[in-house]
Amino acid sequence: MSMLDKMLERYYASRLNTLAVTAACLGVLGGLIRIFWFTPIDSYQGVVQKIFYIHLPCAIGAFTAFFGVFVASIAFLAVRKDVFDDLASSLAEVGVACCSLVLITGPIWAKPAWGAYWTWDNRLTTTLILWVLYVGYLLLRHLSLESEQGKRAAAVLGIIAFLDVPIVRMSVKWWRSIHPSVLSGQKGTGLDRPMVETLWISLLTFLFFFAVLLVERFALARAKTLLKKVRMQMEVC
Amino acid sequence: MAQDTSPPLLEAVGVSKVLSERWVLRSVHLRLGQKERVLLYGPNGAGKTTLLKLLCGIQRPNSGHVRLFGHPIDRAPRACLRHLGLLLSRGFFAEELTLEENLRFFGKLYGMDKQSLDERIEGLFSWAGLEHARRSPVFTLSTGQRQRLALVRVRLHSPRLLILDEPFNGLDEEALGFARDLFVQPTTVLFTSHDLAFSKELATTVLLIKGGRIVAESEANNPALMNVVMEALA
Amino acid sequence: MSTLTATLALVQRDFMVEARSKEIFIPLGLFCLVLLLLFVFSLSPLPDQSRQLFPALYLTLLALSGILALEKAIERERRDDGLYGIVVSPVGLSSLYLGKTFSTLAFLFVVGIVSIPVFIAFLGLSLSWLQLLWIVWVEMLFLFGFSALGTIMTLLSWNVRARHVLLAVLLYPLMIPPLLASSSLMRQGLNGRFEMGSGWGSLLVGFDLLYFGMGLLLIEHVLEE
Repeated sequence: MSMLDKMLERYYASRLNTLAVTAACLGVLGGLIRIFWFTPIDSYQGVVQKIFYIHLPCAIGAFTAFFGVFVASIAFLAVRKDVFDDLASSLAEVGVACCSLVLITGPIWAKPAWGAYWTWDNRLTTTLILWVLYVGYLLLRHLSLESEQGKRAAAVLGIIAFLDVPIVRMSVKWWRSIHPSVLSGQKGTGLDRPMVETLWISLLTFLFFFAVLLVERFALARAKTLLKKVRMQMEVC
Repeated sequence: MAQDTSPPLLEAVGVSKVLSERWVLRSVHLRLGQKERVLLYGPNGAGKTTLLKLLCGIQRPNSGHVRLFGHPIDRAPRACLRHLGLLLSRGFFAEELTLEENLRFFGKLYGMDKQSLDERIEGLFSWAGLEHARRSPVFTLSTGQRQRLALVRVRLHSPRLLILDEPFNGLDEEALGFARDLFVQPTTVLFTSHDLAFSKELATTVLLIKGGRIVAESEANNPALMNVVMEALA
Repeated sequence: MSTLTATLALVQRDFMVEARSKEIFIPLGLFCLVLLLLFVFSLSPLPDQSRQLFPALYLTLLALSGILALEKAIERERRDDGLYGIVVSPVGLSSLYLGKTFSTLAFLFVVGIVSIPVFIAFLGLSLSWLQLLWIVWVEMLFLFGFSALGTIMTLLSWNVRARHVLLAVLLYPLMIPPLLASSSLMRQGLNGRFEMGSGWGSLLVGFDLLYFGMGLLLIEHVLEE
């Protein structure tokens, strides 16, 4: 058993995980309360702008997770340790979950703000393509029945897909763009002080929630892999 | 085999392989010295083909390592593969091309120059009795003829080491006769076969494999070979 | 044995097989034609629209039929375990990748060129020689990226259940940037602007080089069983 697995074991044995999960859930709840009751309403977009506080953390979570898949995939191909494969699959799942939230919250925000649920603007389109790519990645993992070859295929795809992100971003940007550039202090989307504070709070709480989710998912994947190993070893004896 | 002091052409140390959550091979040790001819004998599903695939680098083991001509197989220079001849259950041919075209392609892959390739193909076709079919596409061949052609392909670049999976499959009496030529000195051969009586004549050593493990080893000319086999594979 | 000679040997063999079997050219050409008919019927574009529509239509049809060429190219090697024969030969695995990429590119390129007159006739386009050349050039850049990325993707999805659908699902989203880039470049060409220096030109070339390089780098992981 590796160091990491020992740490995971201790994390669960000491019930630290229950604490973390509770804290994460309460954090998100607190964040939502802050967003909806203690933050001023945007003067231009009205109440719907509040969805932005959820939208942005999800987008950051998704992007970070996909970057993580990229790094874990390279590591897996380089050293061929199952731990990186487990990490990549957990990251991809959390990433797809975040990405789905982005795609759900985006149109809800877009309808009142731009007058349409979907606009083919830069970020929305890029996110959609990303979502399709990583759902495809999960599908590949699922359909390859966890074979060794399937793990390598997934790792190669994890690298290829992530490299496509900046190219997709650039191409869609030139293709068309009406997305507001948030936080740049543009008129109409500028945020005042309590709003910035809320944004930070929701960023922290949501990202913490995603991190806890990732740890849970990763621990599950590790347990599965280790169980498989134990079973194989018993067969030898 | 252990008494051989010259560096082994092929070596597997504690090789294990898991395929779809089953142990196909479990810590297999194997050492193939110069000029040895080793028969791998065992029941279906014993892991023979998987072992051969690991030994030539098509698959990688989950643990243990393989050395080919003294190099770790995953870092071996490609050039040393020139001395390896591999026969698996299928022939590696392009069906639509003629026998000759297929062989020419392999000749090019092995960097043979045109003249020696021509001579070699000529010689091997008459060896395998395939002259009349040389301009027919491969898909017109029968199973036995395909196997003959595969044997020709294996010998084409005069490899020093042969790895053969069931080389006598589908061969008739005549073909079995010339297939013996594969086993003449100084070639080193590792092969599998289900015809123990026939193959033991060609081998120097017999390795018995069962359930992914090498369970016994015997000299091929051991008069008690049959008893060893019965005991080990029972 | 140099990489170049090995690659040439592989490409030459693919051409010979294709010359005998014609299992890529003819089905692919017909498939392209049928798709074109479907699109023309369903869109029924006006003459001035068809000029705007042409680049997107042309490239999409090539991409749609191209997946058949990719699968065929690998299937040929798998049919009699031909891939093993190359993997255990002294030829480097990069030659295998190069060979497959270039023969797929060549097949698709020819199908593309042959179908240009059909497009011109059906869509009622009038093009100058320069515009034609420009279209062929952009088409080649597009198909190069397609073959380079497609070869890797076909190999990696080969031993997976439902691989045909999966390949399409995985490959097409990745191909969106070069599709946008090359259709924009073609449209610019149709409007009389022939420049590669614009952002689109470098994006297309960058995509091609990136995935060609990744293919060379990653092929060994994909080929190993």
